[in-house]
Amino acid sequence: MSLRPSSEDETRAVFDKLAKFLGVHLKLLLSRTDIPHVLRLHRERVYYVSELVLRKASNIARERLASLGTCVGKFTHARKFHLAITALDVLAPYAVGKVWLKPSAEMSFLYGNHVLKAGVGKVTEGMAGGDGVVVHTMGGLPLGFGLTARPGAEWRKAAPTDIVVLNQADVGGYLRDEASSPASAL
Amino acid sequence: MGGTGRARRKQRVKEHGTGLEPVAQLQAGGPPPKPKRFVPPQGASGLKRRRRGRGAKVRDEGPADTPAGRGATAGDDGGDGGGGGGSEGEWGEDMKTKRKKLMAVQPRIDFGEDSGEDDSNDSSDDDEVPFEGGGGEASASDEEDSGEDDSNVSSDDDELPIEREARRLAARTAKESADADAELADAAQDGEEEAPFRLSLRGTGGDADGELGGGLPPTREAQLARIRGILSVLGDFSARREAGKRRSDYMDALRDTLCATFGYLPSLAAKLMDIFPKEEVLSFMEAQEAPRPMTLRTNSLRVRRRELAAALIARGANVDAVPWSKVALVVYESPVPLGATPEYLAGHYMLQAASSLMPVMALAPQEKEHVLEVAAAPGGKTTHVAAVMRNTGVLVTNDAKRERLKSLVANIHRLGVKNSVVSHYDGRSLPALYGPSFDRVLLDAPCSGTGIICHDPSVKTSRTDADIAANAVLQKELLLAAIDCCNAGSRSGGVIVYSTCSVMVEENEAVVAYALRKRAVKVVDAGLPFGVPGFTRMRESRFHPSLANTRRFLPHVHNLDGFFVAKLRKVSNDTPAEVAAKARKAAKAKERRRAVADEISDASTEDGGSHDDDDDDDDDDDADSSEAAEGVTDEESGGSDAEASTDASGEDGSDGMEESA
Repeated sequence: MSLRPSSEDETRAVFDKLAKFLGVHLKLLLSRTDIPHVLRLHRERVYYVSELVLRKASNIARERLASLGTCVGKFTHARKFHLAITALDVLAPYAVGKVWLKPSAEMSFLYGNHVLKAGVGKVTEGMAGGDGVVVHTMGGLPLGFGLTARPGAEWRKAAPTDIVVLNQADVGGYLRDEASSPASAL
Repeated sequence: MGGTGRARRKQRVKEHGTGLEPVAQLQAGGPPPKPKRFVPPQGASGLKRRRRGRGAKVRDEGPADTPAGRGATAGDDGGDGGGGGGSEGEWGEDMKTKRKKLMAVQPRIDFGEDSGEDDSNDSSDDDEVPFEGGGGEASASDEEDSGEDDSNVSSDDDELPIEREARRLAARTAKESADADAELADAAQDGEEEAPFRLSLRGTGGDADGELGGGLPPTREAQLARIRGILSVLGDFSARREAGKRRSDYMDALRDTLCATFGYLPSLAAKLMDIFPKEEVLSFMEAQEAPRPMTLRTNSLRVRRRELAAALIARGANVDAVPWSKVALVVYESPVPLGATPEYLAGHYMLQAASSLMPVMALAPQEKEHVLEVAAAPGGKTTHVAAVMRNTGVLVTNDAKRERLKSLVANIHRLGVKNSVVSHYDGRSLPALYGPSFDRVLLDAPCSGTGIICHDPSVKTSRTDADIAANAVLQKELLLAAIDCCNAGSRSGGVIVYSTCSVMVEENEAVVAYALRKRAVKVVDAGLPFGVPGFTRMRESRFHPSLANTRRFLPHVHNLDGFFVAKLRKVSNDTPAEVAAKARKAAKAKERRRAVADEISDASTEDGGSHDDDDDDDDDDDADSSEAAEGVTDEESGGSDAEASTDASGEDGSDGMEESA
């Protein structure tokens, strides 16, 4: 079997990470009514894939399979789970916490920088520090995701140059580090 | 340059007396981007359309490929009037008329282009009037136009706008008349050139030996003139040829001059001369010197074309819809790199050549199908297929080059494709993996790239005949593998699309013809909006007539990359050989039954020992007699009949193939 369901520890690591962003919506991700989707581990990468696609992929040898469905992230050597930018498609529709950037702050974020207070146009109410947020443009285009650097209540008090969202991944990564992207298992 | 630019602005104000024009330039922190050189568009792809009023400029082009120069060329060609030469005999009748039509159309398009250019100048002038009158807002290109003009007129800025306008008008009419004079002179020269040209073919200095290499004129203009001269002789060979010179002499001279002018290998040039007869080869090579317009494809999984166009225009780009596609946009100019906008990174569009939309349009995948793409990287067509399927079904993509998988996977994720599997196999091993299990298969085969010389000029000098032959072998193997992966019994599909970015017949029609012999497929109409029909004959080869259903896209005709698309429908999962073997077996079985029936009935010498085989009437009689005699089951006779008929059809088919072989 080239693809195995992840072990219990691994499952917990992945779900913990996803739950930071999705909260109670995590259940929706895995109990989709249209086509059943599953998480599969392949070469330390976790892929979110429909069962239909998974069946077709079972023909392919492990060392020949580069990707299937959507890559959510990768286990590090220390067995920690890191989300990859490719997970944005999985996170964005279900995310609980959201931040909308002013147009002037978009490019800075896309170059991998953290989000400063001055760049935030809109934000979801009531987030705690360290919550996962998906970063959007004012037009609603998801650009990446990160963690809140401080609880939402303190954002008002923050200085314009204070970091409020820590950049974990942004779509600029498609250009910056295509070669080191974890999405391709080969 | 740093800073706010205020100081520089002040400086400009002091110099020019007007603070209007340089402001944008200074605010941008440097000189504005030079206007892109636009390809003079020709033909029906619709990419020629240029948005008016945005002041696209073509004025500053080199003499070698100005539209005017090209117009003159084409006019020359038109003057030859498609004279029937001997080599024309290579062409099918309809093909011939088609090509003639092309030739006839060419000059008109070019002149249309000329007038279009004037129009654009006009419109840009029109735009400038309110601007110089003090209108504040203007697009970047407008500002630039006025910038140039300002630099001309800044010496006397106390002129009234109307005076300025009048002066400009006068200047333009003067320029136009000068152009017209030059054109006339050019034409006259062309007319005169025919006589002296004969001398030049005899060798500028020496005789026959002087024709090669050393005898060639040194400048590009002279070389082009020589090419035109040779072409004009070939246009009406019997009347214009020099006594004692054969057609082959002229052809050799033409080939050598083309090679010297454009830098092709002689073998490649010779092949191109076969494919593009006479004047066409010149237009082809000239078209390959210039880039194609930049196009992008909207990712319909994420955004609509109108929204994307609005977003890009908001970023200052000048884009327009491509009329024959629902998802393509053509980019005339853009102040920002379109490969790094937030929209690009968010997967709203893919930068891809307009020609690469064709295979997917021909494939026409349906939702919920299983689709295979054999050579998928870097994923332009893959993501297009997924978008057409709206992320349903399964899209198996494969590429044999490991280093190209990264970009393929990245593009798949960036554009939000969720139904794909990416594998890394040699495409030829895929049938062993999947069997005939796909509804549709897309094979964009690796090729010599003779259609995209403008992207990669090294093709001119690096592709030998051996390379092309080796490519053709690989392509044949890949196409058979692709066909083997396709399921003929698919309710919605059973379609294979084969495409290359080559113009070589060996890599295109010959490959498809080979597949027709080896597999039970037929070439069907690709359902594309335009394109030149594929060849059914080329030199000594004769292909199946259905190859006229394939489509070629040509740089000098459609202003697209050179491209070939063939759409095949799989008829049966058996190969023609298997079908024939089955039929033979059935015939033998029938023979045996007949013999047994004869023995049992023990009568009627009607077809005694002399029945050969496979005659339908015979069969019927036989069936009747056997039924009458001992009531052999209906199904059996019916079955054998059916098989006989498939046999017959198979034979028909193979006859057709052999004809083509």
